[in-house]
Amino acid sequence: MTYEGARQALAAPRRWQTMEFDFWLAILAAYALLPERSLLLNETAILGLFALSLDLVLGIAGIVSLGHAAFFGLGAYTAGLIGKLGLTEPILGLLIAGLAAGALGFATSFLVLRGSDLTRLMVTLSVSLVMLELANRLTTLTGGADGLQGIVIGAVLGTFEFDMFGRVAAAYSLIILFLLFLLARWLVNAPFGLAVQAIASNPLRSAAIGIPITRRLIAIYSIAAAIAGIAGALLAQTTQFVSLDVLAFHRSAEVMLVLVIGGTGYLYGGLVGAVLFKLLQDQLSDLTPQYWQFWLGLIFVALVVIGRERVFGFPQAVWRRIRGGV
Amino acid sequence: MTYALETRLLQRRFGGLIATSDVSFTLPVGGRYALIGPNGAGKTTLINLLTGVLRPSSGTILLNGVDITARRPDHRVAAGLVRTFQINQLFPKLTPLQSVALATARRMGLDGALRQRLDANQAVVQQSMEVLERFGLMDVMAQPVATLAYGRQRLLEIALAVACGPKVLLLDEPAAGVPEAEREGILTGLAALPRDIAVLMIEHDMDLVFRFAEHILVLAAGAILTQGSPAQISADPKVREVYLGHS
Amino acid sequence: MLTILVDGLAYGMLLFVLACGLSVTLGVMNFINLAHGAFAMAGGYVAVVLVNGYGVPFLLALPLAALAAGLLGIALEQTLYVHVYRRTHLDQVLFSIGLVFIAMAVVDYTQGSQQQFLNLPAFLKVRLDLGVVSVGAYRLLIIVVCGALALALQAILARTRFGARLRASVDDPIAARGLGINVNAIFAITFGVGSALAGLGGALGAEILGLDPSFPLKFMVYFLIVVTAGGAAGMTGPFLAAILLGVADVAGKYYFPSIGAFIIYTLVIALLVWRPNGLFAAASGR
Ligand SMILES: Nc1ncnc2c1ncn2[C@@H]1O[C@H](COP(=O)(O)OP(=O)(O)OP(=O)(O)O)[C@@H](O)[C@H]1O
Ligand SMILES: [Mg+2]
Repeated sequence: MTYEGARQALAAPRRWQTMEFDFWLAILAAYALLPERSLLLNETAILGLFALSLDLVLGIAGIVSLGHAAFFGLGAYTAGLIGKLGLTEPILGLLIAGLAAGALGFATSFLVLRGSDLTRLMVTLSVSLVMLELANRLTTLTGGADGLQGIVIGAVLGTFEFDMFGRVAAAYSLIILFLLFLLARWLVNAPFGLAVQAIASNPLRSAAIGIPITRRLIAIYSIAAAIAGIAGALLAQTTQFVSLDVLAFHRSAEVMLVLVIGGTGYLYGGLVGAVLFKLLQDQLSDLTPQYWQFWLGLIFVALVVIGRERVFGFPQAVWRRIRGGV
Repeated sequence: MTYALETRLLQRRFGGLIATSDVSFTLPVGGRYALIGPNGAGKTTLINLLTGVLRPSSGTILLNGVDITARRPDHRVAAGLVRTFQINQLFPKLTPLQSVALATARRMGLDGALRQRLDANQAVVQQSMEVLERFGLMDVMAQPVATLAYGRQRLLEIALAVACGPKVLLLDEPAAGVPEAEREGILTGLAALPRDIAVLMIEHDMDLVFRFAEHILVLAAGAILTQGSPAQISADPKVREVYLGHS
Repeated sequence: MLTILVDGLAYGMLLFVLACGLSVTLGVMNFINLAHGAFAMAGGYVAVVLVNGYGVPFLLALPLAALAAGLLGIALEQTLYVHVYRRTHLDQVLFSIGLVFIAMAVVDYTQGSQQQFLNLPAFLKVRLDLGVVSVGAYRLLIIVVCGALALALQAILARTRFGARLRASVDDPIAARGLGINVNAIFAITFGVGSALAGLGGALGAEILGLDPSFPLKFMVYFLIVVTAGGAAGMTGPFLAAILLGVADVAGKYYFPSIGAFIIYTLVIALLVWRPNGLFAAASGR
């Protein structure tokens, strides 16, 4: 192969594919054509962003986390609180929430990066439980079990007031999702992203070619935490309510399922998974919550027993073909 | 005189077992050395100590006269001490080109870069191609590593280390599992290395050892039994004894 | 002070009986079974239904609960778990969380979401004065039963042929297979026994632990702490870890009620950072 061939082969993963354009066009179309589903679309965008963040941790960096809700929840409470305290500009709220969650991610990354999958599971889980317990106890700040009420959110950029049909909310969440997706895609396709993927695939060799593993993982974990925090902030701002639920274990488990349904490691998995998951939940929404949990569990079990590759291997293979590389 | 690599009384215990026992040796700049010894002699353990995968129980490691005993593994690589593995340690989902480009980028301090793109960096592409070319991997450079034949993966194992720009290259049984006919490619690739790189090759294939090395260290039960030129080693009755005694 | 120690001891021993099966699952098959608590919950509910519903004596309900949980364990092991052993840790986590969700939903649907209270027999409600300290008969029973079980387990592991094979399988499953040990059968039996013990623990401790559908989630962390802190090698590590955890938890909740729960999680995090391979694991590695 020639120099040009090698250059092209290296550039292949970051080239935009038609299918990617189609995906985003379809989302745009859904927003334009289904105004009555705006609330659902908003929820889907938020869940997709949360799952995208988990994909950076799990799919790209190979860290199994059982407590990703810690960051989502911190972002939600932060955005809610500053909204309540009078800083009503939503974009500013997002930024602060992202910073707070990113800081928590940075602080806890040192714990998470040590040890095996099992210790990582336990540490992530414990961190999220500590956060939940904190939110539960600091009632003056968080409202405890009653939830955080009285959140005031101003118009986006001082112009677009949130309406009760969720039109502005959905557009706002989708745009933030798109921007952060671009950021994630940019990160993953940078040399930094390649190094992180190499670490996930073989930490021993990564160290042996001189990659500072800990530094790279701390960076990706903190960034992912910030994105999860922004997802949580979007939820707080667009629903103007935060409850302990944002930190609950089932949220961490759910986002894992969402990501796994869509497939890990190619960034669209979380978004595709969120769409499928929300559609499913919408269909089964007349069932009681307990039933929903049952179906959720059944999906988990069936997915694994049948084999994730077998269930989702085909669409992913097609995707990889089209995308080429990685 | 400073050596490319030097150890002083290096020792490592695993519980009661002394896997590395008072190993002191020197590897001159540009040296072509081989390290031989029966299975379980402690050869891989020695490499693990040198590269920082394991900590020594006692002793010192000097790289170009600088004490690196307490350095982190990635700092040692940056200082030019690079290894390969006895069992392939590759990135199955990446392509050979991506793997080598990453190692090259790392050497240039670009592995954490955000705004750079590897394909836009002429030096990275050019030098990655040179390494792949040297090990005859050009035809498969854009396929996932997992799909490569074992012999090609073995070559990539070395190519990755070479791409790191070593001053001292430690090869752990590069020909392990490679069919007789394909072993030539390993020597060809190594022959093209710049002369100032020092190489320490662990190998069981004596033919390969005698063709490659100018000096041979013999390790038995964790300690250096003897060392010398290939002619001296092949004539040494002690060496025959440890080998025959074990197999 | 002594009372807290005794309470903590009872709680810790209970945790050991609940979690020891998990430590073997983890050790033998390197399988992360987050659903272990579901078997304990099953035992607890079986006991509640038997005692409260059918008037079965408490002491008889205990072995029945263990039997039920053990059978459930073997059934699930043979039908579902066997497919998942060789999967990635992510798959194992997804699978066992799925089981937890199903178990919680089923219990919620059939038994309701409220906490269940077991009608303890009168002789367990008295307090016994042991000179230095007065102990509730119920807690004493827990300590005696769990202590006996721990000793029996240790003896089985150390003395019997089965124990030797199990230890061999834990140390090196591949080598054990090579020696002609039927690792799969050993594992199925162990899984069943582990589930039965969990079931027994759930029944025995229903009053202390608080039995409701969220049980498997609530205690997931506790079980994981016991096995990771204790290390997977042998029973002594998990036993000591369980006792420590029990005492720390009871004391923490008593002396610092407002931050009690934090103490445990903070301890866990600190511990895992300090000794990623377990508190009592041999210091090895780098
Ligand atoms: N992490 C470890 N823990 C305990 N013992 C170890 C460890 N690593 C190696 N050993 C022991 O140290 C001794 C030397 O092992 P080493 O792998 O260095 O031998 P080697 O010379 O590379 O053998 P081979 O030719 O088979 O590759 C062996 O007895 C081995 O069992
Ligand atoms: Mg070796």
